Amino acid sequence: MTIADLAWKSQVVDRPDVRDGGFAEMRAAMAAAVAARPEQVHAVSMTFAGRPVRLEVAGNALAANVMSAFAHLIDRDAPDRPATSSIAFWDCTASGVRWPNLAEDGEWVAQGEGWRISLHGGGRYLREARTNSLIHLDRSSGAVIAAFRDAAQLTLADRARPLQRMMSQICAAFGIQDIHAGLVSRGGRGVLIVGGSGRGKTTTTLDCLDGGLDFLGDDSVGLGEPEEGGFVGHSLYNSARVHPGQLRRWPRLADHWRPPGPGDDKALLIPARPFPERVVRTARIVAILVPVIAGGRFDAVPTSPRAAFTALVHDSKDNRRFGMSRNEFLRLTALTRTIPCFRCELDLDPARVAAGISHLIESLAP
Amino acid sequence: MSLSEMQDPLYRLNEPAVIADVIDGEAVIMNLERGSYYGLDQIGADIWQMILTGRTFDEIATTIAQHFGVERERVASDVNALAAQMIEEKLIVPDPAGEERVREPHQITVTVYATPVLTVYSDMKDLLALDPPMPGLEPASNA
Repeated sequence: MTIADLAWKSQVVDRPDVRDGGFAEMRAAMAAAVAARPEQVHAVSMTFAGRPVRLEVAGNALAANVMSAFAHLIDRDAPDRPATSSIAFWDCTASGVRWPNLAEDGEWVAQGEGWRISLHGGGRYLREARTNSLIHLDRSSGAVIAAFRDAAQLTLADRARPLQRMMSQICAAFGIQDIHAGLVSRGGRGVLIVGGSGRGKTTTTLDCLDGGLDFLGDDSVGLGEPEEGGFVGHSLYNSARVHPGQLRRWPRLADHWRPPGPGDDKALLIPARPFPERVVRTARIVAILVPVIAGGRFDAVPTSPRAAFTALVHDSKDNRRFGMSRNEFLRLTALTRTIPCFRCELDLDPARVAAGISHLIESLAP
Repeated sequence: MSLSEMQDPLYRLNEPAVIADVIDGEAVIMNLERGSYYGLDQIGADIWQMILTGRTFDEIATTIAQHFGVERERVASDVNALAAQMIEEKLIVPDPAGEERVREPHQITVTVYATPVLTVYSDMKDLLALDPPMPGLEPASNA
């Protein structure tokens, strides 16, 4: 976390009188949902971006859906560990508790078809309203309260990446940066896979998972700068999404896909189910790889930092983020300046991709 | 617009809307308000850095032409076109106080001259326009 990041925090935390945009009402509604159906409350400790967080879900169906995406972050050995922040979800249908009827106000508003995001309390509170969900974030603590109209209405995209767009601001509250990239590792040393939509990020990361490497994300990972220097990638989601036509590339995963339903265009994989030991939380980033779908033989060759940066900042329609801040821009230029950048052709044989990336990791100085 | 029609001789980075960095000799530029992203090749990055260190476009054309032994008219045309694009994209703005700036020396890094290229990545523009930068994250906007 930088001093600049701390500056806005100290400012907003010192203003207890600010309006919270309904955060307190959301907290009260969450408590009511817990009290209404206590037998459907699932509470665990997890480690998010290296910090202890309490995850609480009210509603069995909602818990089954969203907790699988965070399953690899749950600390099953320490369920009552003190937490520094919390993420809470409730299912309105299962609990019978609706989300509060809040005024459509805000100090800053961005909106589109079916969604509205507003800022409250001098920048401290962020609210995202969608047709089927209402999510509140306290940016000073990283605390999240989210209501879902009905768990049965969640798309596979919602299940793969709960909190999607808000995740970038949640990450910022935790001192990391949500970036559009895949991440795989071996022995704690990771390779970021970058590129726009349809450029092979998920294919490359799943080739590596299938070929024995560790998985941290196929499309969205948290970028951190540890005090000892360098860059660390934090896994955010235990999930991957692929167009159904691609699934035959990985025969060993054939039984683990959840096919797309109405409103989905991709199938869902929870990587920890077939390979629980291969889904890890963090890795030190040692290389950045820009895949090119060309059907050639895998060969990682150096590319320019600018090419890697360009591939890194491209966004995707199903994973929209907020525009980049100054600090985030500079973090990404520092990343591409200091970490070796490569490009590669995607091989028709996934085993050669995994072997090639393993070799790349081994070839780089520790 | 020609060089002679550009009334303001000195330009500066359009801060705070625009942020830029030079990585391994190439420049990456982002207009945080528009959500637009740009890339400059190596000679373009040299010109960019000379603009930001207080050179007029005329001076830059002369320096580059002499450095590479290239016809000045050709270089001036290239610098003119590139500068006009930068102004059009609001990456740089006139700097009336530019004369007071300390002109740091700039070492040209390219070995062969080629027409500079500013690449505009507009495919992200609509997405980022939908998702503008979140206010309150920068100390300046909280002041």
